[in-house]
Amino acid sequence: MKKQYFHAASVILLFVFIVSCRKESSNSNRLTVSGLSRATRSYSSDQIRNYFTLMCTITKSTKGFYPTQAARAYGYVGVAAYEAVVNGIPGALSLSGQLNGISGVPKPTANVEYNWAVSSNAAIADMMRDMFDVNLTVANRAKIDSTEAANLAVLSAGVSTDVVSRSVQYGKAVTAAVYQASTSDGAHQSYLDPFQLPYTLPSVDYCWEPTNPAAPNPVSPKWGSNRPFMTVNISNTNPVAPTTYSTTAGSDFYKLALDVYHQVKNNTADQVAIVKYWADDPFNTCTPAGHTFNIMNQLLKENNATLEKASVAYAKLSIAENDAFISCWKGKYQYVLIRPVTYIQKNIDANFKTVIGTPPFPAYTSGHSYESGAGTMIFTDLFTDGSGKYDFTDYSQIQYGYSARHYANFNDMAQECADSRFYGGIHYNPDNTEGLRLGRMIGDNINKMLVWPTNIK
Amino acid sequence: MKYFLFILVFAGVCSCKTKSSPAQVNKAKLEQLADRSCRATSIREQRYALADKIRFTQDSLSKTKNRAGSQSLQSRLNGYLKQKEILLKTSLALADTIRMQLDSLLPYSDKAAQKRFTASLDSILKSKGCDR
Repeated sequence: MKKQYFHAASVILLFVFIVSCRKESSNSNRLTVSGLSRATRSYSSDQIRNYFTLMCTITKSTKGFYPTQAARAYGYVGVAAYEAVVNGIPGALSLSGQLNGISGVPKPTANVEYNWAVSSNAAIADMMRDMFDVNLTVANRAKIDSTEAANLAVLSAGVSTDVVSRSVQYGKAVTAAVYQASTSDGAHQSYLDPFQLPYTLPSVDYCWEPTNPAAPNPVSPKWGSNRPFMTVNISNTNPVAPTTYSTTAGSDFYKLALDVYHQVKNNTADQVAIVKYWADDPFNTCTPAGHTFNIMNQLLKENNATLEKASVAYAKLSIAENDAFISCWKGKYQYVLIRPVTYIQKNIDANFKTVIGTPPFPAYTSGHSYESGAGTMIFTDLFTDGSGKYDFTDYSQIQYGYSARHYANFNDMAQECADSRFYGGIHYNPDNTEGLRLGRMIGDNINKMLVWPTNIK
Repeated sequence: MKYFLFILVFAGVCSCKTKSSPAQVNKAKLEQLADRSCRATSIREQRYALADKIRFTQDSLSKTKNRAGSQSLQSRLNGYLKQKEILLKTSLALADTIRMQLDSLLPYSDKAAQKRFTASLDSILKSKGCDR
C-alpha cells in the first residue's frame, strides 16, 4: 500500500515538472479579443522576424533596389504585416484611414475564428512577392515560398482547416488592398527605372555633378513627389536652406568643404572603420534602411517580443523609413547641392579622394542621417523610457566582416551613423545635422500622431 | 522500485533544463564563426580595394582622350567588374551563413552573456590576426 502511494506521488511529481517546463504558458493562449480568436500577443514573433531577415537578403540581391526603392519595399511589407494582425490586438486601430492612400483594407468577419499568425504569414509573403515582383529572381521567389510553406506547417498544427483557410485568405485580402494602394503612390515598380529618366538637372553653379562617370544619372530624382504615408512628414520637414554657395576661398561654403577635406586627410583608423561600418552600399548590403531593420530584428529578439509588439514595431519603422526617404529626396532635388568631392577637386585639391565612393545623388541632406534619425525615435519609443538609453551591441554587420559595435544610447548610434558620412568625405556637416533633425521629427510624428495600441508585449 | 522512481524524477528534472546555458557558447562553434568572420573581413577588404580600383579607373577613363589608352583602361575596368561580380556572390553567400550561425549562438536575452560572447569572439579574432 505504502509502495503504491509512493509510486503515485512520484508520477504526479514528474508530471508537474514536465508541465511546468513547457515554454508557452497556456494562459497566454487563452487571451482573446473577439472571444473566438487567440490574441496576436499569444503568438511568437519568430516568423515575422524571419521574413524581415529575408527582406535583407532579397533586397541586396535584386536589381534596381537602391536605398529609395528598398525603403519603400520595407514600408509596404511592414504596413501589410500590421494590418493582418491588428484585429487581434486589444485597443488597436487599423492604419487604414490613418495613412495616406491606405483605405478599404478588409475587416475580418465577425464571430468567426482567425489565427492571426497564419494571416500575418500569408500577408507578408504575398507583399514581398509584390514588392520585388518583376525583378524577383527565381531563387529569391523560392525562398519566400519555402518560408511561407514552412511557417504555415508550424502555425497550422492543431488548428482546424477552416480557421487556417480563412486566416490565409484574410491575410491575402489585406495585402491585396495595401498593394493596390501602393500602385498609386508614384513609385510603383520604380526598381525598373531607378533613375526616373528623363530628368534634367537645373543649370545652377552649385548643381550636383556625377561623381562617377559610370553613373551619369542621379538616383530617383522624382522620389520627393511620391505620396508619403503621412503628409506631415513632408510638409513639416523642409530643410533650412543650405549655406550660400561660393567658390571664394574663406567663404562659409568653402570652409565647409575645407572641413571635409581636413577630416578625410586626418581620419583616425577608428573613423575610417566607422565610415565603412555605416556605408551600407546597395547590392553589397541591404542599404541603410535594411541595416536599421536588422537592428530592429535584434531588438525584438532581445526583448522577447511577441507577434503583437513585433508587428507594431515593424509598422512604425516601415512608415518612418518610407517617409524619411521621400522627405530627404525632396530636399535633395530641391537644392541639388554639389558633393564635397566635386567641389574639393575643383577648388581645393584636384587629387582629393574620398574614403569610399560617393553615391550618385545630391548632397543636401544626408539620407543616412535622415533614416537613422527616424529609426532611432522608433527604437526609443519602443524600447526605452524616452531617453534613448539602451545597452545595445549591433551584431548585424558581423555577417559582412565587421566587429560588433556597442552603444549606450540609440541617439549615440544615430549620431555615429551621421558622422560617418562626414568622415568619409561624402557629406558636409550641415547635411548630417539637418538630416538627423528632420529624420527625428519624422520618427516623432509617427510615434505621436498615429493611434497605436498601448501596453503591447 | 524506490531507486527507479527517484532516477525517473531526477531524469525529468534534468530534461527540463535548457540544453546549454546561454553563457556557455560552444567553443568549437565560436571558433568556426570566427573563421568565417575572418574570411568575411578579408573579402570586405578585397571588395573595398576593388571598388577603389573601379572608381579610380572610371575617373581616369573619363579624362583620357587617347584612344589606345582608353581601350586599355576599358579592358582593365571590364576585368575589375567581372571580379566584382564573383566577389559579390561569395560575399552574399558567406553573409547568409554567418548570420544564421550567429543567430544560433548569440545569447539575445542576456546582456552579460552577450558581453562575454562579444569578448570571446573578439579575442579569438585577435588571436587569428583578424584586424577588423
